[in-house]
Amino acid sequence: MKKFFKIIGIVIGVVLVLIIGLGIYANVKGNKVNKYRQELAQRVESFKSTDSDEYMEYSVSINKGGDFNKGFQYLNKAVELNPKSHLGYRGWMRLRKLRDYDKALIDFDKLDSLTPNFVDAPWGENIDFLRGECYFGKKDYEKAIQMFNRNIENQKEDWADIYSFVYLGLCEYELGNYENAIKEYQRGLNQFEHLCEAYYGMAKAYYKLGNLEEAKINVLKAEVRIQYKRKDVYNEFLNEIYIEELLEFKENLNKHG
Amino acid sequence: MKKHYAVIFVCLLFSCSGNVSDCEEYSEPYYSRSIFKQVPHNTRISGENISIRKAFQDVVNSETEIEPQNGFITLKLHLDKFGNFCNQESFQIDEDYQQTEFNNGQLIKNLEYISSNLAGWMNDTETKTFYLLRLKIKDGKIEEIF
Repeated sequence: MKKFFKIIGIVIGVVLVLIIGLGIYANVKGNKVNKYRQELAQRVESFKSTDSDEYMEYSVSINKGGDFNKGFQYLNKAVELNPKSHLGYRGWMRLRKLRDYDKALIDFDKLDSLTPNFVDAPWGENIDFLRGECYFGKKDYEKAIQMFNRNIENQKEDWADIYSFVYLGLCEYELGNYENAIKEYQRGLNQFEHLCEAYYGMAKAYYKLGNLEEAKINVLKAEVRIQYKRKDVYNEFLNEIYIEELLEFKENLNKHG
Repeated sequence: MKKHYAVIFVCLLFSCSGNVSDCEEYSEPYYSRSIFKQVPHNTRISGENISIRKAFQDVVNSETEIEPQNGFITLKLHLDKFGNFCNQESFQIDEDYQQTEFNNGQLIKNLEYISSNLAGWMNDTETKTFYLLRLKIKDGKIEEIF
């Protein structure tokens, strides 16, 4: 019995030593990280740093917290120091976070001019797709169609972002070209059968054409595929759809018979 | 005697845990994930952005001569782990991203009144989070809410 408690005591002792050792290590490491962060903050906030990446990284959490006045001060400095590296990101931020279409376009166009014969991809998205979204946001649907088609031409039909087709459909719809809208949505569905935005778009286009039957069929298809919708935890997309609007549209269709 | 010391020690241990109210906890970003399970907080409101836009519809209709005419407003709502409203911060910037006050501070009061009364917030991790509501002012009107 005594031996048993002796062993238990040794085991507890070793575990305690390990815990204390880990605690000391974590504390030392934590202090080093804090010191690095303080020095980084000092360099960036005083604008003494000459590293564009430091300004860009520092701006991220500030902008994500909603303080775009402060965040963009640092992001602007990053662009000033290295426009090729950071113009795309700034344009993307202006589009996604603020829906500042005009300034986003300025950034995208400037970036494009700096990289001739190269198709840029700001924050991983094709530059023409993003420009298309900007023009869509500005309600310049003719120009948006041009950009989305350019994107599809560059990326090829089966590699381009499928939402290019959704946007083409939306643009044609807004211009009153309902049959063209349906064709564009169908192109998207050829790439992805669960493209719920395309089904909803087709439902609305068929409704405008007076084809209530097809409108009902397509809104139901959109409804059962809503889990496939385009969504992002950070931002609402310009073409994002919601189950509430699908249900409201379906109810209106049912009222019409 | 040893038993008394043990009881006192245990009481002291529990008294160190503190008593922080739901609204005094730190606000995790709405887009982040819980530490151990890495599950997204997924802060959202019932009816999603459709509900939010409906809630602001009256002020959108009534505020048509906003000065300055162009800019952006961000409302940062702090919600407790059960989705109850705690408090909010606001950021108002003009078209050049400089700080401003729309309608000399009157617009933000109207907007904050509405946002503080939004109901139906929830998240998947029972964590206090903040959520961003963004409004775009264009040509003197509230053009977009997202």
